[in-house]
Amino acid sequence: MSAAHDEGHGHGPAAAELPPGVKLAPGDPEQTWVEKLYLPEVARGLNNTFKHIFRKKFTIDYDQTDRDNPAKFHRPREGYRGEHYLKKDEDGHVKCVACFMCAAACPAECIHIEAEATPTDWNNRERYPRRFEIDMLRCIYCGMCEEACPVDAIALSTTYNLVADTREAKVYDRDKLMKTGEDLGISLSKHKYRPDGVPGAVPHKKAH
Amino acid sequence: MSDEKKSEEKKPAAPPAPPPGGPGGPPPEPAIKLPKAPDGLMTLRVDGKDHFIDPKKYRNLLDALNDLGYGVPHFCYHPGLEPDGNCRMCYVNVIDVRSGKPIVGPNLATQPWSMYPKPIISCRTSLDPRGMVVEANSPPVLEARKWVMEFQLINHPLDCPVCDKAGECMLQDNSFKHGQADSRFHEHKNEKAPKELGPTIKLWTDRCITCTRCTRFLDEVAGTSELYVINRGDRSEIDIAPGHPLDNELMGNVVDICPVGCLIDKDLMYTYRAWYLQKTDSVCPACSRGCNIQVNAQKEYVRRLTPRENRDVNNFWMCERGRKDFRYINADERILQGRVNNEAYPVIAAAEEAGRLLAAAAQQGPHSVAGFCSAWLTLEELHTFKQLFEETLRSKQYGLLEQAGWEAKEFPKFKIDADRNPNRAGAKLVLGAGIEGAAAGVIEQMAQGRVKVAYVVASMPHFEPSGELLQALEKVETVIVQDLSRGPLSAKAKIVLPGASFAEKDGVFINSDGRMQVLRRAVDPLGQGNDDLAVLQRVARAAGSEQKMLSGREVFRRMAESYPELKGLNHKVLGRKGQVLGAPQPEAADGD
Repeated sequence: MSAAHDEGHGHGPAAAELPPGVKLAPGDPEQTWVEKLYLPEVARGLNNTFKHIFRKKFTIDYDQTDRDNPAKFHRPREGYRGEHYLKKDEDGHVKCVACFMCAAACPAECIHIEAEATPTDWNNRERYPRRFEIDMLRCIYCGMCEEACPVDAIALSTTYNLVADTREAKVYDRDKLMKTGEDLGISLSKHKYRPDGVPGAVPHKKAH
Repeated sequence: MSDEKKSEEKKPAAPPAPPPGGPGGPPPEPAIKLPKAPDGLMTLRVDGKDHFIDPKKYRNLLDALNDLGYGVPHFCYHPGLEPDGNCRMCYVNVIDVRSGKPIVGPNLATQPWSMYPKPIISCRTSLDPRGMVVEANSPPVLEARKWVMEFQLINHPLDCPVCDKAGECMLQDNSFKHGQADSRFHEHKNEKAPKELGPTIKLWTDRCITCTRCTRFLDEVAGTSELYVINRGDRSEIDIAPGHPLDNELMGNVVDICPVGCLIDKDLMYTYRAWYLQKTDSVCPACSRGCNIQVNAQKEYVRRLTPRENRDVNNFWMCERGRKDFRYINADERILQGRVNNEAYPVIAAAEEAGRLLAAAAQQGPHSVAGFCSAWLTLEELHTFKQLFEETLRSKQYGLLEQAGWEAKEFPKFKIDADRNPNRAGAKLVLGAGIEGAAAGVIEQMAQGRVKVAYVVASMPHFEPSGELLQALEKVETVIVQDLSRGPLSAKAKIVLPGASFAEKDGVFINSDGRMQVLRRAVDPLGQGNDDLAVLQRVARAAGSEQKMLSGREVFRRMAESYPELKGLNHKVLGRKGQVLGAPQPEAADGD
């Protein structure tokens, strides 16, 4: 049923008694015998279809085309919240200090961390995550983990095509999350530890 | 001003009939008239509201204000220690009743009050039985606390994300309530390196606010005085004397009472975050003292044990032996399911098999079944055990397994008992005073081969059975063992049943002072959801008992009807702090 149809057969005489600005919903309009044939309307619809066949396509073949070709492969704009990754410090170690802020902020409770003292040859901090897992099936991609992180260690990339064959494969562990950042070439954290190795320190504000 | 000064001088001379209110005369009418309190009580007016309180009940103004719900913040004050008054956080204004102005010192009369309208610390202010007027939350008081808070944070590193105390830190809480978001301090902070104070305690020196709670604890309660403050001013730090590390049986308490994350226990470091811990009131089973504790669990794992206040038992403290003794709960050796003839069985099926074997053996006479229970079982479990033997199996052949004792220790304000059986008094109450010597007789009967089926309910961690017991069990056809972990006892057993640790059960222990205290379930029982009571009841039902499956509370409620000592009691009446056996009961004690 096209829009023109509705307009042609408006409301009945009852509409006049209604307050101004109030309309009744359209009922079944009475049809002439030409309309009852439906053939003119079929022809109009097909006309519309054939017009679009020769226009330029708006859609792309999802995940079938060359990813490096921006014309064919859709990249979301910056700020899109996709797959998570863990960043690194200057020494190449995981930047995370296992403070559990992301896990505490996570509304889906999909982040599981186990903290541990750092190996003795890491000299910039005391604790790191022995285990860091994100259950991507529970994640709602809200980005609260990135907001909560005091050391800029976790972030969401723009990668959105996250498919896997099993549920187990959708639980991303620490190494997988670090590799995501490496592959994208954006794994170095912008945060600097304080000279004494205390992470997450708030910079002192100047007096007003 | 000068008039009042004169009056001070003239008082001894006692001039004749001075005019009231004038120099040397009777005191003028007070500016604030407080309502008269009932006998024995005093009037405390806080922020315009009058309270009648008993001044003898409270040690100082801070205790009284916090008990009335005014929430005066503090760092250095701890109810279990002498007040020190160094943190200055508990500021309040005390108003002079005579002049209606803040009191600033003893010689108010000679000083212009407007020069010193300054607040005073409530932890070192005693209550005046004649009545007091206090401002606990007035704008000048809140302003003063804000300044104190800013000073406390000057050298604090604000490394809350990596600090183990985050989430239960007094500095965080008070900063949130009374502080401000930004600091005006823009010089460099004092950066002090962390120190190892002893085998388990680590000092994060830069987090310290020098409240000296730790040094006062070690001076007053432990009496060992390992810690003291070195240097002065903002360079003050807690330290040990060379060669004298912080290593005593009460050292874990300094971690609990540290208001910031300065003192951290390395055994527990990084293993938990405070906001995930579920805290359940319980009782420490390590010795017969029965210290009141909280089991801190995260999901199904017990992460740590912390003491809770009970002035009649442990005050605010617990010892290191009890605090660190929880690893057996989630140890690999724990028995998690039933075993029959070395084959894995569901717990219920194994318990029913055990019950059938016991019943069959009991048919041959009361001497062909034997039982052992331990003083680590709750009153309810001991009662169910007794019912199983005396009513269902019609045998009195049972004894008590005892944990070997350890060295007792006494500190100036704390005591560790030598007896490691937390419910020995309970076993005596339920099974009779003669139970302690009964085990030898049962072992002899077993050694002579008269016993067909033996049911051993140990559920004790670190239990080392005696050689005689193990030899005697060799002579028994069928041994049924219910224990926490695999060991020499369960190796002898034909049927193995899982036991439950103290954190997995609801029940009552009676400590060495005869105080009944309630344990509450902190984590689900690991033996497929069956704690000792459930397993015992299943065994009893399979052995022919008509008793329904009951919770610990319900068993205790029924026990209260049959034991005169427990009359009128239930878990709710016992409450958080327990009751001494034979203490007078309130009239209405029903409902649970």
